[in-house]
Amino acid sequence: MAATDPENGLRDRGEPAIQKCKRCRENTAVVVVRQENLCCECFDKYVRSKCIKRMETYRVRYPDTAPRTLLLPVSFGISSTTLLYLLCGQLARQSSQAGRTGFSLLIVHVDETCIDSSLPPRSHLDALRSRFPDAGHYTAVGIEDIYQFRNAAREVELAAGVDEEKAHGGFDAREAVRNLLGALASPTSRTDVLAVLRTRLVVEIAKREGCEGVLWGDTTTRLAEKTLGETAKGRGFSIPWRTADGDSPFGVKFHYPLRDLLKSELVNYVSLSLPASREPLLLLCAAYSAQPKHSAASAASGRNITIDELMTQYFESIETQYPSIVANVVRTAGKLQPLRGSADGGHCMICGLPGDGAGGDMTLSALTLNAGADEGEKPRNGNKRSDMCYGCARSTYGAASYDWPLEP
Amino acid sequence: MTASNPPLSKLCAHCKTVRAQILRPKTHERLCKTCFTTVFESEIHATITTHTLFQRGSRVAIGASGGKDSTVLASVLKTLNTRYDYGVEFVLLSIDEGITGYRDDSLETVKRNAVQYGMELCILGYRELYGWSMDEVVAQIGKKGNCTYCGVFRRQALDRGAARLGITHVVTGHNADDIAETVVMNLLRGDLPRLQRCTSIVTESASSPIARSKPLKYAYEKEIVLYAHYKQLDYFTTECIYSPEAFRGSARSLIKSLERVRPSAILDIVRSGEAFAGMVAERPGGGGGSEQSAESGGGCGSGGGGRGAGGEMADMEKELVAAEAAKGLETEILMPGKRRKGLKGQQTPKVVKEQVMGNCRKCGYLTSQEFCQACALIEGLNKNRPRRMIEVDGEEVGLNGGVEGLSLR
Repeated sequence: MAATDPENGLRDRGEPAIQKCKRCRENTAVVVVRQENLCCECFDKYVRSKCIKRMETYRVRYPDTAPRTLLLPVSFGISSTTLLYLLCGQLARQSSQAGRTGFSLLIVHVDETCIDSSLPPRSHLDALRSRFPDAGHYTAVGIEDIYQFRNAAREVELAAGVDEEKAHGGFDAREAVRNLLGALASPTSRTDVLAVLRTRLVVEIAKREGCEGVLWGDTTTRLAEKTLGETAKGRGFSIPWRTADGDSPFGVKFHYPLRDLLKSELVNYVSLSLPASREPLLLLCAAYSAQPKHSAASAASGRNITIDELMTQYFESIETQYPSIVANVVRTAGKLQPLRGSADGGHCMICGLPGDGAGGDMTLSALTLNAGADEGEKPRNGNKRSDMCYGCARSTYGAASYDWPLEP
Repeated sequence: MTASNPPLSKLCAHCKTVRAQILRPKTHERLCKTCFTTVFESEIHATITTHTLFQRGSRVAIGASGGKDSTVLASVLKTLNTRYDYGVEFVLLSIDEGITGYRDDSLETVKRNAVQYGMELCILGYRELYGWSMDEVVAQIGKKGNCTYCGVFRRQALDRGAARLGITHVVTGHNADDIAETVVMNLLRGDLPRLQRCTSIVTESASSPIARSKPLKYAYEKEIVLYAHYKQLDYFTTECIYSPEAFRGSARSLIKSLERVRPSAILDIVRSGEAFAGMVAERPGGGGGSEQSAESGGGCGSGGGGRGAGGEMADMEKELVAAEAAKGLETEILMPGKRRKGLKGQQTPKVVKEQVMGNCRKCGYLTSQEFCQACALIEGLNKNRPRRMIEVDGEEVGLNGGVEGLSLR
């Protein structure tokens, strides 16, 4: 242990005492995983088995049935790139062993460059396609495409000229997304609503393309971040739907095949030359930067950082020292069940989840508390806060006028 | 809500007549002093009325430590009781843990508060009740884990104090920050039973005859400090000198960062915590450790935040790693195809024993076990205590139901 770099778990190659891999006892250990020295091959096996275990539902089925299509969203970050790599390997093995596969992939990149131009361009998808040509079908969509999934009734309304600007053909979806996010009051609200849009867009595409489920790349660390992040944003009620494997309220299944792997483990994984891939995967992770987005100082001051980023920082800091505590947070989240009776209520018009119906209760101050709900603060956009869940009411609170693309 | 209007920006956002002096921590509204105190008080009034915390004609004890929270609570309750005619008689109830340099000084503050607010005061000490002051407990077991003792002792001491005063309702000064912190801490610790109950405003349980409530549940710590400042309240600021709770410390610093990013975060966490209460599967007995209820379990929550004591988190990490390793040694035999669903650990349904409440055989306190937690802890302490002379009657009598006979006032 002493001879390893505690920061990333990768063994220092310059170190004299050569450690053997604890599993195969043959090769030289290159990485420390959960207190075990492992060689490259055993580490590869470890990572693969963690993912395969979570993909058991999608083994080759007998009798012969058509493979189920699963949507794999890729952000060009470490987790989704690794997941693509692992699934590609699993598909290849299924083909060679059974002559067919248990699932097929629709790989979708959601392009958010219209909001953040520093993100890698959608053309980077070609790099993935040329590296994993047999993984499945590749496609890129823009985050603004969410406006294509407007409710039919709303379209009629627009066509009837209710909304002048859009009726006159000048509707620019990219502008609409920018306006929507720009209308929100804080960076935290913007990233929060952007994540809502991303999830809903992926779900809409999955439904349109007949996918049975979505394979999210979230690691243990990411799921723990989400658990506390959603808690901090007043979305505690939605945790089962954002972290659990299985049916989601959207009508497609959600799976998190990397839920048993830590973020730091994947960072190590993509940096190594793996048995099946001599070129480290890291080269494909165009959206990854080893440099933290925020300094510790800016996190401490709370300037320009969002709640999600703060949580990322928090868990990446405790992950190295307390990996089991991180895993335990996710386990605890897994024991939470959807709020009793939440299915009876309507769905939140923003996030689309069965609401806690509590947007209307959202109060900060006695000024509104005693004066009766919503007084002096007429809901704009015709959106009533009571149609929202608490978390969405919070994130859209104080927002300027915006055009929400979806209906519940 | 009042939107900030540029021409009026210098004026109080509420009354729009006086120059604003305060940037309200909770909402970032600019308010004048008077409006701030009014708003602060009316929010607490709203909490009290929406939850019908008080009944006319009842006597309610305020758990008073002399710190900012309980001092503000006592002051606000006195004000509201007069303003809205609750018709409640408030009494101050203090627990003397026996921590030199901390509680002895803060109790002096409580004594002054009793005079200032014209409230009856009752002080009960650990030394008299249990034969051990916290200083002695710490001398024996060290600083690590002493919060458990203090938490168990305090809970029972408050019950005993209330019983002596003929009171069935104790209000405590837990604020929104404390509750948010507890929610985060329970998530980090994976403590579902506590996660379920830590946000309830009134806690009544089979294990205690006394109801507890938290009228400051939605009040921000920063605003409590501001209120105390503007009202020039007399309170004691030192934090407990024994405060090794690493989880709480970690949760606390996270909460403070979150508040800086989005001031509503504290309230939003409380809200999430309220949702969790309905999301934990009901199990008889509420899982392990059900005897300690609500806020007090495991510690006092008013500690200084465990600076420099990561031992608790490291211990838990070790425990979890060991549990994981043990799981690896078991061979699970499962029906094919059955494996996928559900998490591990749910595969072997635990037999949960229905909790039956009885009385501690030693002191008579309510418990599901043969002895109550306090007696069990004292038993452990006494075993290791060097034999010594019995100094006071009270020491021996303390746990044998003799508490009532002691004159402590």
